[in-house]
Formats: sequence, structure tokens, C-alpha cells
Amino acid sequence: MENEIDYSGYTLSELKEARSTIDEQAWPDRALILDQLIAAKEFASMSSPEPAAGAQQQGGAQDDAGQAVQPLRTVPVKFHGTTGEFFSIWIVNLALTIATLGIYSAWAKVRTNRYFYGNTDIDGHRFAYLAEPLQILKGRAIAVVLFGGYFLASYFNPLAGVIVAICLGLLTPVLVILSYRFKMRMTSYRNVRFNFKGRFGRAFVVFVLWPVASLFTLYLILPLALKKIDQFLLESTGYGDKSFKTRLNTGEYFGTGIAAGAIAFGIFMIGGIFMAVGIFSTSSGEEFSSSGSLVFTFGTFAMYFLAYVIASGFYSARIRNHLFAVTELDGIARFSSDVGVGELISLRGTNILAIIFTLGFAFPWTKVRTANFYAERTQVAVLSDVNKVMEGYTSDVGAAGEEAAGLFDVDIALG
Amino acid sequence: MAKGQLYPRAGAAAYQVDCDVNSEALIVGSFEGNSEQTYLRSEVTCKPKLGRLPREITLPGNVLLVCDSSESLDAWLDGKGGDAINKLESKRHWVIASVVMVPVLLYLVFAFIMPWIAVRFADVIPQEAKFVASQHTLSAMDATILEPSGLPVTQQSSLQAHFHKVINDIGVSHDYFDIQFRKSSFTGPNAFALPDGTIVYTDDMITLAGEDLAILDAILLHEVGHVEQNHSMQMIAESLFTTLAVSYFFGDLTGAIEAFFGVGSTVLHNKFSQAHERAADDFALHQLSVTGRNPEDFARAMEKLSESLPEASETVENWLSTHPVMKERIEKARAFNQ
Repeated sequence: MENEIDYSGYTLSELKEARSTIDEQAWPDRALILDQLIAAKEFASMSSPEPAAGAQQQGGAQDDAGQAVQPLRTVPVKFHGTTGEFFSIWIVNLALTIATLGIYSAWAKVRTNRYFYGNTDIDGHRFAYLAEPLQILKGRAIAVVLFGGYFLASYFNPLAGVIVAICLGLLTPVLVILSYRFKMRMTSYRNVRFNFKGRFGRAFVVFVLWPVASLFTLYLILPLALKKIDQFLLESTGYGDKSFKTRLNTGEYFGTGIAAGAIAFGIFMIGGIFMAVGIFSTSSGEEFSSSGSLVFTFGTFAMYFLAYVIASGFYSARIRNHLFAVTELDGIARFSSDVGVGELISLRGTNILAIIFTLGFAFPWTKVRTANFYAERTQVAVLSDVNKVMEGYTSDVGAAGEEAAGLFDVDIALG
Repeated sequence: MAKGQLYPRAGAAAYQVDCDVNSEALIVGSFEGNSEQTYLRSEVTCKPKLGRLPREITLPGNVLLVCDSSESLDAWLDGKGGDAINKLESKRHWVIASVVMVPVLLYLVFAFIMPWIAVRFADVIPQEAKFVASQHTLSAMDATILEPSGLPVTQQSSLQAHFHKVINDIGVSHDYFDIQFRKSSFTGPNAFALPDGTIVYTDDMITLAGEDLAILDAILLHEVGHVEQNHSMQMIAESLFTTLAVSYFFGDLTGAIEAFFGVGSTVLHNKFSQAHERAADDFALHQLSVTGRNPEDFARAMEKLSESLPEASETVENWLSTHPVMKERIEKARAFNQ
């Protein structure tokens, strides 16, 4: 929106006058903003003729974006969920899901998401998850048909399977966009929804062209491709009429990506040496004995486990901290994250081991623990009065787009 | 009386309000120039009760009221009985019952319901579809791991005639069988059946049997068993349904945990496959016995095959293998005689 007019100082009657004189065809954005401001003021002044007080609080942070704005306050993220409570919710919903052969999973998913969103609190306000189970169920029915069709096609005619797989690959950007749009539109904070404005063309570049290019450079430019993905997802996300702005650093991605790759490589080298020694010392003579093959099987598994946990923990912690440090919700909030590499690795490692050794029953514990972990390591600096954020994007999403977004909760992995 | 937060429509403004309920109405206290308001239950909507989450109540005009959960508020919102699912989640005995039921239900689903659905699914697949699938599979294998047979054409046709005679001896309901030979440096001595009734022997298998044709007959009957009982089609249905079930039952597990459950679904898949192998073994043993042949032939075939295979550790490999352990198959064949 260029030439944005700051209406925040207008009174209700001035707003109404501005609205009646504006050319709605030429300035649909402004007309929409005016409508919303008028609605908000009218609500706030339902019983009093005076201009609403709500709009006058803390008028300090009205500086233009770009200047270093002093935060009003810095607040932690709080998570109120508890393991015992979530365990009960999870196990009951899992039993219902299995008993209904998966159909109830849509309801279970909504309850799980509501639990985690609703228990996440920033500055005294909680998030909300708005999706209805039937929306999820519809999306899942479509995904089952798509996946089943692909599965059977690839069996009865491998060529058809390959064609369908390529189509699905090319369709990835569309699925990602629909999925993000749904997810964001179903998330709200202070009764204002998040939104996702990513365009299909840009998504195609980011999710198809860049990864293919990185394949041809033997993954040398993979960090750059990952940066493009993060940048696209963040910059396409908005909260009400505000959007996220970010200044991701290419060097940070390359440094972190290369170091993560080197860590994984090192683990495989050391693991390979240990395994070779282990196999030679347990096997008698030249025969590749069965104990040798056991060492090989478990050694490989352990190596993948270590490489995954350590390399991905390193990457996630570094990149999360960087992402939060350079991202701002336009004029509203800045973020910071201080996740330590070692603690994230030990969190993930122990989570996986706990799930394996409890045959899955520790899953709720790991989820609550992880939510607490991230909440404790995240700070939000509130820059200006968040009261001024307006529900912004709803009316520009066409009805068809909305329908499609509702139709596809593409949460199922399709390939 | 409880504290609540009120969020007007179309903006992120928030106001502290007092909320209370009386016998029929929700009372929202005054805030910032707005007077106290009352609402009937029919005027508001709310999300189902979940844990100790504050209640999210939508007032007319898309105004959101978030108010701490309390007994009186919950009763006013959910009625006397309360929310059914929330009651299950908050009663200790239902939680304990669920802990017990989850493994039991998983067992029932994977041991009985899934195979039952798979059989029904396999039965409705027409022979034409099986034919197309088999031909595509065979040509894909020909292009990759199989080569044309090196056996003399005369030997091939005499073996084919012999095998057709064996098939005629036993009553089969499937009416198309086609015996083929291929050379393979990958699979060694082996034979496999495609769903339309094409049965392929590798050259190594023929060589391994040597003069002992009865071994090849026993293996033929095992493969005919797969075709007769439509195992390939059931396998497809089982893989498809297992994949879907695992992703919906445990959908929100991510990353390495998913990989772990991927191992889990491989184990499940192999359990199904082993069940099919046992059924095909039983079919072969039964046919050997009723057509006046000897189940010992099958034991000998398995012995010959296991001699040609590298020794493998028994327990772990069994989970990760599509076939039952050889020793067990041989013992079963020997026991069949007595």
C-alpha cells in the first residue's frame, strides 16, 4: 500500500467524512481501513458520544517504520500447558481416533492445536486456533484420495506413477501455499487473524527452481535455497494489516549450513571407523558373521540418529536465533531467541529416546516440554500499541481462494 | 464473578471486563465507556471446553470474550451434562481405560480389521487390472534386475509342460497360469508369482534343483498358493491402509520419530508378508499331500535354498524380513507328514 494515510488521529466524525468522500474504486485499501476504524470506534463508543479512549493510549510509538523505535516493554512468552493434562487429552483422543479408524483424527488434531495455541501467552493474551474439525476432515479426505490414487497408479502402471509423482512435485508450491494460508488464517491473537499472502509464482521459484538448482551444484548453494524459503514464508506472513519484515543474512545461512554438513560428515567418519573396528573384532576369520551384521545394523541406525540430532539441532538453534533477531512485525514487535545449541540437541535427543523406550507414551511429555523450552527462550519486544493493528486482509482473499484454503488443509505429507 | 478479556471486532484492541452468569444470561461488565451488557445463551457461540483453557466466547458482532473457566460459566455454556469429550479427558478412569485400549485397539486394527479389508479390496480387483499390473511389473524387472533366461528353449518348454500338468492335477480356481524363466545375478535361486498368474523361476533355481524336479513342483505349488489366494493384491491394500493409518493415528509425530515409526510400519508390512508366505506354504503342503506327492519335497526345497543363502541372525532379521525363518518352514513341512 503506497501513500498510506495515517488515520489514527482522526475522530469518528472525521473518519466518516473521509469515508464518504473517498473513491472506493481507486482506493479500496483505504476504504477498507476506514470501514474498520469506524467499526472499531463505533463499538468502543456505543454508549458514549465521546471519541473512544482506546485509541489514545500511549501515543508514543508513532514513528515511521525504519527508525529504531524504543520498545514499550519486553515480555516473555509463557506456556501454561501441563504434561498430565495434555497426556489425558492425547490418550483419549488417540483411542477415539483408532476406534473410528482415523476419522476422529480431525477432531483430535483440532483439540491438540487448540491446547497448544490456547496455552501460549504473550503479554497476557493467548493465541487461538480457529479451524473446525470438518474443514480438516474434508482436506484429509481429499488427501487420502490423492495419495491412494497415486499409490495404486504407481502399482498398476509404474509410468503413470512417475507422471503423478512429477505432477505432485510441481504442485508442491501450490500445496505449500494453500497449507500455510490455511494455517495462518486459522491462527489468531487478540481476535485478529494471521494471514499468508505468498504468490504461486514466487513459491514455484523458491520451492522448485532453487532446490533443483542446488541439486545441480551438488548442494553447495543449499543454504541459499533454505534462506530463500525462510524469507518467502516470513515475508508473506502478516498479522492483521501488518506484515513481517526480515533481513536474513546469507553469510549466516552459509556458515551454519556448511558447519552442520561438516558435523554430519564427521559423525559418519568417526562412526564408520568405530563400526569397522567393531565388526572386525567380533567376527571370526574372514566370515562376515551374524554378530558383525548386527553391529552394522545398529551402528548405522545409531549413526543416523546422532548425525540427525546433532547436525539438525545445531542448524535449528542457530537459524532460529538469527531469524528472530532480524525479524520485525512491522512497527509492532521485535523478537529475540536465545536457544543454545547444546540444550536443543539434548532436548531433541532425549525426546526421541523417551518416545522409543516408552513405546510412544512419552509423546505428550515431549510436546509440552518442547513448548516450554521454546517459550522460555523467546522474548518479544512490544514496539507500539498493538491496539492499532486492524483486521486487514480478510476481504482481499477472493471467495474462491478462501474456499480452496478451507478445502485443503494439506497437512498430510503427500510424498 | 470472573475476570475476562474482551476483544472488539476488526482490531487488536483489548479491554479488561468482569463476567458473570446468572440463571439465564451472561453479564459482561462495563469497560471504557461501554455499559454493562447481558447476553442469552442463544446469542453467543463458544469453542468446546478443553482442559483448563479459558473459555473463548464469541459475542454478537464477532466480539471475542476470553474468560477463565469456572463451574458456573461452564454449566451455562455447556448445559448440565457438560461437554462429552471433555468429560472423557478429565475423568481418571477414562484416561486409564484409554491407556489400556490404545494397544488393544491397535492390535485389533492391524491383526484383524486391516487384513479383512485387504481381502475384500483384493477380491474386487478384476483380472484385467492384475494382468496390466503384472505385465508392467515384469517389464520393469526385465529392464533392471532380470535378464533373458540362458536355459535351452527345449528345456524351458518341457518344464512348462510339466508344470502345467502339475497345476492341472490340483484343482485351481484361477484359470490363467504362465511359467517363465529369467536369469538374475541379483536374486540368486528364486521363484516368484505375479498377481495375474505369471510364475517366474530364475535359472539358478532350476540349476539348484538339478534332477530333483519334485523340488521345483513344491515351489510351484507355493507360488500357485500366492496366486490362488490373491496375496499380491492384499499386500497392496495392506501397504496402502497401513501407510494411511500410521499417518493419521500418529500424524503429529515429526522428524526422526517418524523415521522410527517408519521402521515400525516396515515391521508391520513384513508381518503381513510373513502371514502370506505361511498361507502359501500351507497351500503347497496340503496340495502335495492330497495329490499323492510328499510334503518332504517342500522341506528339501527349503533346505536347498537355505544352503545357498548366507547365514543370517534369527531374531532381528526376522522382523526385518518378508519371509518366515527357513528353519521354521522346514520343520513345519516335516511335521505335516506325521
